[in-house]
Amino acid sequence: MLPVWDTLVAAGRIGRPVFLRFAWGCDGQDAAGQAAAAISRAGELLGEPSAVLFARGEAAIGCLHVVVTFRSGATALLICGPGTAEEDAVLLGNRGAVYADGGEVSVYQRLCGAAAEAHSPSPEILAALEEALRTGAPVRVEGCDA
Amino acid sequence: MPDQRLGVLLLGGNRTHQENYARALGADPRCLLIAVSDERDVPPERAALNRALAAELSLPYVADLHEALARPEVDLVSVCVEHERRARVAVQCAAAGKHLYLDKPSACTVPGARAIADAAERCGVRSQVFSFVHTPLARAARTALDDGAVGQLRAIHAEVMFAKGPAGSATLGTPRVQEPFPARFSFPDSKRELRATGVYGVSLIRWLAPAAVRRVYGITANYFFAEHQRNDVEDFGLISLDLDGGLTATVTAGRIGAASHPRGGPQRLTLVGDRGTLTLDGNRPRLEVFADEEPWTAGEPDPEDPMSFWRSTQVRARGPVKRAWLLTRGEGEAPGDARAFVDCILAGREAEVTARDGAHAVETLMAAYVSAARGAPVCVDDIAWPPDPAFPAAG
Repeated sequence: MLPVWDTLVAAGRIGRPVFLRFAWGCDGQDAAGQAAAAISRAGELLGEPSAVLFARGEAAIGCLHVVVTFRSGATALLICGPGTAEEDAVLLGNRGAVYADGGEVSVYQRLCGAAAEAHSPSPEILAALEEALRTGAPVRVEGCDA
Repeated sequence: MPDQRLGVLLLGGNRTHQENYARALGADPRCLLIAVSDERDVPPERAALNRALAAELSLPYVADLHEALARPEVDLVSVCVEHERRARVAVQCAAAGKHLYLDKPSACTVPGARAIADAAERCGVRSQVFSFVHTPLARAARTALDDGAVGQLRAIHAEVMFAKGPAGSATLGTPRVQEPFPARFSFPDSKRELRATGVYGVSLIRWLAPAAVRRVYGITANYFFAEHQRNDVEDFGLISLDLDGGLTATVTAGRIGAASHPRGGPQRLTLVGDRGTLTLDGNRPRLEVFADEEPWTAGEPDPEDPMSFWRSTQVRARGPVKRAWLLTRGEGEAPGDARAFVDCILAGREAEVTARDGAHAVETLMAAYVSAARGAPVCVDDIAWPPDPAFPAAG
């Protein structure tokens, strides 16, 4: 994983991170698995291990979004669509913000590369995400810093 | 020969969005500004602000709304009175046979917003709620959908946030506790941002995909400003929507602090279809300028308008201007909201965001508060809306 995000957050340049919006194209890959990895990464960046997931869409066609609420009230919005175009991320801190555009290297890989490749998605998070998508209800999950 | 221009009555004055709407309407050669007015019993501070705008525009101030509405030369009323009074006032304007140009959101209660739409339709007047559907961003999204750029539309994600105000003073660490039916909306130093900025995203989504919103999941938060926390109003909001036809959508809204963006704030639309995903950025195309010049820094907040809500206080403060990003797509490529409404009136056609559309937006936004209070999604049709306290006849 490129450490620049973590370095930037740790340096306190944007204050305390409070919201992550991350959109990427799954490009025919496993959208639910990628989303589960993104939830883990969101937890790392926002410094929070537990969360409530609310998810809508259809993982099978690569179209879903997840609203993640952390214990402190920090939130994340994770958006997955088919294709690869215009991936990007916004990380809001209480005193600043980070904006990342796509470019040649997928933002998904830059932001979540380690979570997606070095680890399998956390089974707990993946199960919670699938339950949230299936029921349309908020689902509590522990261990988002997996 | 009688003046053929549309006569415009302005309701509400300085420190309302009338500061902007009045100038936009006044710049249209097809319009003639007639007067500024309001209800007779407004507080002295509000009357003084109304008179101040009238003086700036060299217009008379008519202190009695009924008297102003009785003037036959008034064709169109720009309604910017405080949210809590807006439904009552707008219904009177429609009943007087005047077209309605409405500040957003159109009302602060669902019965109030519906009453405005009912009155406009019953009285046969045109109505339009201010929105972003006439911006280049919205027009580009419309064109992309019409051209089939993403195939069959599956989801829309709208992000509109304002980079204003001195952020960093909110106390963090605990989730916001939301009341289901907020009653107060007007504060000098804060707005309910899920509603005030979220209305742009909600309106854009409904305009791009005119499907009914059935289910709403909302979150409100206090991330940036002690002022919002003191008033128990959110500075940030997230909404997830289920619409008819299997469409889903999200709205990200908030006031995130002046230093948090190189321009006015993020404005993005992501269109997800069965053939691909397209993100459109209201801050592109642009030039990014870096030079050996004084960098932008946040100026001292105006004590009477610390969040930079209003044009008049920003002009007075003469604060630093952000110059790093220069948009290369001009405003002239879209007609502008006020001008588009004048086009509709003169052509005898409905506006693209009518009072009825505005009522649907209010319903969605207020449902998001109910959801945020419950911590669960809500079906819009299942909510029993309380009456509008300033307009008991509504609903």
